[in-house]
Amino acid sequence: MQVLLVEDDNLLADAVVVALKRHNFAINRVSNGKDAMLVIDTTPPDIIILDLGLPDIDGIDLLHKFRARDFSNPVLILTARDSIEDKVKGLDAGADDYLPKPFDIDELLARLRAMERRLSKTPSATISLGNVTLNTSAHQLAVEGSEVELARREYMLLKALMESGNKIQTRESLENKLYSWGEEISSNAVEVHIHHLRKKLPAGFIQTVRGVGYIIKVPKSATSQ
Amino acid sequence: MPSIRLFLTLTIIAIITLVNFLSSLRGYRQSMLEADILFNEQLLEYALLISATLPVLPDTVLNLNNSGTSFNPRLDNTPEFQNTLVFQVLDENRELVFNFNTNAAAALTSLDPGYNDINFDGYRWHTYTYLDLANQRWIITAQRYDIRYTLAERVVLESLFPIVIGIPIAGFIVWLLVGAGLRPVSRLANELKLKEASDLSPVELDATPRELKSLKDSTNELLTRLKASFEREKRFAADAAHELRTPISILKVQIHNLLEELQDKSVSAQQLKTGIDRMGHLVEQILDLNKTSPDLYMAQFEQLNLHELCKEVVSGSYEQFIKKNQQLELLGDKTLINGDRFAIATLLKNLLSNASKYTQEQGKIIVGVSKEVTGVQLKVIDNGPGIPIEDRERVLERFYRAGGVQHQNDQPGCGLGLAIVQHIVNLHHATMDLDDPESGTGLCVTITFKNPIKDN
Repeated sequence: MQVLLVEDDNLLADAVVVALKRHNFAINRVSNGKDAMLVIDTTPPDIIILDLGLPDIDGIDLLHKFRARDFSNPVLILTARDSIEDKVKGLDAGADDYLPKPFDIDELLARLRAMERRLSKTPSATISLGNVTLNTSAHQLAVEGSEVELARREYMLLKALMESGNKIQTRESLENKLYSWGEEISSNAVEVHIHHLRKKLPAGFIQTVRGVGYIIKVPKSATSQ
Repeated sequence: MPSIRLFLTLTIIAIITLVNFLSSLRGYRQSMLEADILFNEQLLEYALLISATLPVLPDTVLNLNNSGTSFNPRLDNTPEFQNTLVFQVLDENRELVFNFNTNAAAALTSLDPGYNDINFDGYRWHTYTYLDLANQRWIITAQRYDIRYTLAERVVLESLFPIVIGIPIAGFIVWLLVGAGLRPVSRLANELKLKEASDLSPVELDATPRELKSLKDSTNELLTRLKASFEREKRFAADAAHELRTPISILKVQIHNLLEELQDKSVSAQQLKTGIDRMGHLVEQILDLNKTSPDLYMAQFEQLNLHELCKEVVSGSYEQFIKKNQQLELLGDKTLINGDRFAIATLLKNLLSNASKYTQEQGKIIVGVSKEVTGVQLKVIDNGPGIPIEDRERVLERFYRAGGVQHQNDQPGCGLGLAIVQHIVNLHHATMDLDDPESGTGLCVTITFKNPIKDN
C-alpha cells in the first residue's frame, strides 16, 4: 500500500513516516504542493495524507487540483483547523476522511486501514477481534477458526460494527449502511438482524448501549489488524 | 474648574458687569461734564437776568432769603434746589449792596469777571462774576458743587438701575443657555455611561456639534483601538493553543514510536506519554474555553434534536467508558432545542468526560433528555462520589478542581471542563444546576434550556 504524506513540518513528517513504516505501510513524503503534484502525475499513490497548512498552496486548493487530475484514491486530511466549516470544506473538496491535530497515531492507523480495506487491494483484508475474524474481500466470517454462514445484511452489519471497534454504531447509522435511500425498512429491522447475528457469535460480542446503539468492544490485549 | 456651566455663567456675568461698570463710569464722567456746562450757563444766565431785572440799587445791604420774603424765585421744584443759587450785587465802589440766599459780609469771590472756585461756609462753590458796565455794578452768582454732583449722580444712578436689576436675570438666562449648549456633552457622557463593559462599539450621536465631533471621534477611535487590542488578547490564547497542536502531534507520534522501539516497558516513557496526553488535553480545553467565551463566540443557532446529538456525542466518546468498564444509558426521545451544534456537542463531551473521570470503574452514567415545564432538561447523572455542597460553586471556576490538587481519583484534568460548560450554558441563556441524584451517591448535572421548540 503506497501512502503519500504531504506535510511541511519535518519533525512531524519524520515521526509519522517512522510509525507508518513500522506498521507496514510504504510511505513517501513531500513537503509542498508542487512536489505533491509531481508525484500524482508520475506515480499516483494509493492513499494521500494531506496537511492543509502548506507553504506554497492551501491544502484544500491542492485537493481540488488532485481531483481535477482524476486522482480518485482516498485522501485523508490532517489539520490543526478543527471548526465544522473547515471540516465541511475539506469533505466537500473531495477528502475521504478528516483527522484533527493533535491525533493519536493509533487513530491514524485505524483510518488508514479502513481506507485500505475499502480499496480491497490487499489479499488479506481481514478484521480480527478476539476469536472472531471477518475477511472483507471474501465476505467470510470465522468464529474460533470455523466458518460461519452470514446473510448479506448480517455481514454488512457485522462489518460496520467490527470496522469501528470500540465505537458505538447508532441504529440510524446502521440503517443507513444497510439500506439505500428510499428503501422500505421496518422499524425494528436492525434489532432483528442483530438478534440473528448474536446467535452466530460468542456471547456478549455485540453489546447494546441503551438508548444509543450497538458496540463491539476491542479486547484489551489485542489491536485490530 | 468643577463645572463648565458654572464657570461660563460666572465669567459671562462678570464680563457683563465689568463692561457695564466701565460704560457707566464713562457715562458718569460725561454727565458731570454736561452738568458743569449746564450749570455754568445757568450761572451766567442768572447773572444776566439779575442785571436786567434789578435796576435800582438800594442804599442799605439787603439780605434776602428764600424763606419769608416776597422775593422767592422758584429755581426748581425740587427741595434740593431750593437755596442753591446764591447771588450778590456790588456797587461801583465795590460795596456789597445785595445778598440773595446768603449773609456773607463781603464779596464771595474776586471781582475779576469770569468763573472761579471758592470755599465758603464749609462748602465748595462755583462762582461767576459779571461786570454790569451799564449800571456800574458787579453781579456774582454762585452755586454749591455738591449739589451739582448730586444732580449728576442721580442721572447716572438712574441709568444704572436697569443694569443692576438686569444682571441676575441675565445670569439666569446665561445659565439656561449654557446648559442647553452643553447638552450634547451630557448626552455623550450618558451614552458612554450606559455602555456595557463588553460593548466597545463606537458611540453614535445624532447632530454632533462641531466642537464635540473631535471628542466623539477620538473617543470612538480609542474604543476601536481598545476593541482591537481586546480581540488580539483573546485571539492570542486561541492562536497560541492552535499553534501548539502541531508540536503536540509531533510529541504524540514520537512517544508512540519511542514506546514501540523500547524493548522492555519503560516507566519513564509511559509517564512521558501520560504527560504529553495531559498537555494535549489542556491545550484543547483552553481552545474550547476561548472559543466558547460568550463575548467571542459567533454562535450559529439552529434547531437541534438534543437527543440525536447526545447519541452522536456518546458514540463518539464512548471509549473512555469502555476503558473504565462503565455502563452508560441514554434516556428520552426526540427533543428539539435552539442551539449551536458545535457548542452543545462540546458541552456534552465535557459533561460525559467529567462523569466518566469522577466515577469509579463499573460505575453507571445516565444521560437523560426530557421536556419539563421549565424547558428542555438535559441531565447527566453518575453514581460516583459526587461533589460536596460547599465545593459546587467553585468547580465552575477555571482551573479549580474539587478536592484540591491531590485529586481523589487522581484523574488527569485541568479544571476547565465545567468552566467551558458554564460558557456554553450562558451562551444559550440556559441554567445549570449541580445536585445530588435522586438516589444513592453521585452527581446530577441538570441543564435547562428555556423556550423549547414545539415539536411538530
